Amino acid sequence: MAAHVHEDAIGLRARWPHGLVLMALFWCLLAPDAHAAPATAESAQTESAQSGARDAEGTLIGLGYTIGIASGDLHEIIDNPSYRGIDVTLHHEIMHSWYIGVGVGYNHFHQDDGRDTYVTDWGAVTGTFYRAYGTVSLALSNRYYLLSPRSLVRPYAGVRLGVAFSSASLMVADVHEYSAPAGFLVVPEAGAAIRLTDYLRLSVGYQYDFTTVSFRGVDHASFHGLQVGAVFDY
Amino acid sequence: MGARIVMQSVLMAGASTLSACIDYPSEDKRFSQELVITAYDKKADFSSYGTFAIVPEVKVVNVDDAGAMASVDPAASSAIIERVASSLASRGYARVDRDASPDLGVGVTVVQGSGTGSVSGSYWAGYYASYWGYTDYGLYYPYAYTYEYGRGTLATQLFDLKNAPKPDAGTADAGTSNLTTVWTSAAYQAMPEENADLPKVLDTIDQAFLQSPYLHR
Repeated sequence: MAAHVHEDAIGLRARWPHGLVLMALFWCLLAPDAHAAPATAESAQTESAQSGARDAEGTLIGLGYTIGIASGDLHEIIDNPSYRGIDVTLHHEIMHSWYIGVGVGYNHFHQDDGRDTYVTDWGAVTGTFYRAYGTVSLALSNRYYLLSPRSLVRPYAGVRLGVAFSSASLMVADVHEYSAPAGFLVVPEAGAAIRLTDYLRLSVGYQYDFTTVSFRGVDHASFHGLQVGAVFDY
Repeated sequence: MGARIVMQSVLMAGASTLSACIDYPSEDKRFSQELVITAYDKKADFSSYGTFAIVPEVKVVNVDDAGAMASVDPAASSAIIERVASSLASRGYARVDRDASPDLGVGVTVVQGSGTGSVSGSYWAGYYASYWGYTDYGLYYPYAYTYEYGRGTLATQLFDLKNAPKPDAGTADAGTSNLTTVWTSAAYQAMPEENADLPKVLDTIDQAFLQSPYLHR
């Protein structure tokens, strides 16, 4: 196990022979304990035990709170941020630092302002528009973690592919318009996991939820997500 | 073990967050704001009407007092009537007297009181039908949409007199015949009390016509 730590730290550079300067900088700053390779497996084991850091992370369970900021057409009708977002992920390492898994997310946007006229087939209503947009995403997730599991901070980048089930509704007075479109989902994401304990990391990240979901007045409902959460190592 | 407890706690918090997602504001809140609602008879050919006559004063109906009718302050009443009349004139309709066989009858009513009900309620049906000479007629609203009145609603209505069954033509049955209300505007909170903000009241009239582009000769 201890030898694996050594290979992982060195191997990261070996797999990226033209490794990015930034990555090297991260490595130097955030993984100082990997600078000096233990001379023997025994010494590595001792070092690992002393540092308290784990050598590998097999399955990661992530729970995150997401603040959403609508973009594009969706932002045109709802510019209030969404403070109701949650994200759950399950990742398993299939190669060094490369994880695949699944993710489920939920975000709810709403806005209670804006006076406008809604035209119906029997007339029209002028009043305050109450809009809401909610979406549940189901996706396969692909994530690559930089640096070794022993590092204090592990930056990551990834992408999710899946489907989004949405609901869009508008209410003015007692006139209610509702639709439940679905579409494909692509979510590029990046962030960092900060080690708190051997089994727990604080996660912060950014993601962009692009969907093909469309409804009246909105094409490709999408939003930016700022996320903070926890990653559990099982 | 500790991690599992933390994860379970987070999951419960997440579930609570989802269940706490607010819905729309209550109906009371949605209807306590200023609203302008218009409805019209889709079968009506508004270009076929040429003239209108308007009841010369705005009547107040108190739904808390069995629909007792009163009059609005004369100055406010006159301003409201003239704004409705000029709006119709701008759409190509000619104003005539009640005795000149107008195609459209116009009535403007303020609903006061704490009670609510459907716009198809007939607190004022007898008054307006009789005003145009259709004693014992009711009012027919050919649109499915109904909404609550009350809370100072300013209701403006156009009655189809051109196609109404004539009382003296033997085609009408007293007590069962109706005047068709081909257009209704309801402005919520327009006149919640006597000292209403008249410019705002007039604005609601303008808005009602603005959102009714089909209403023209």
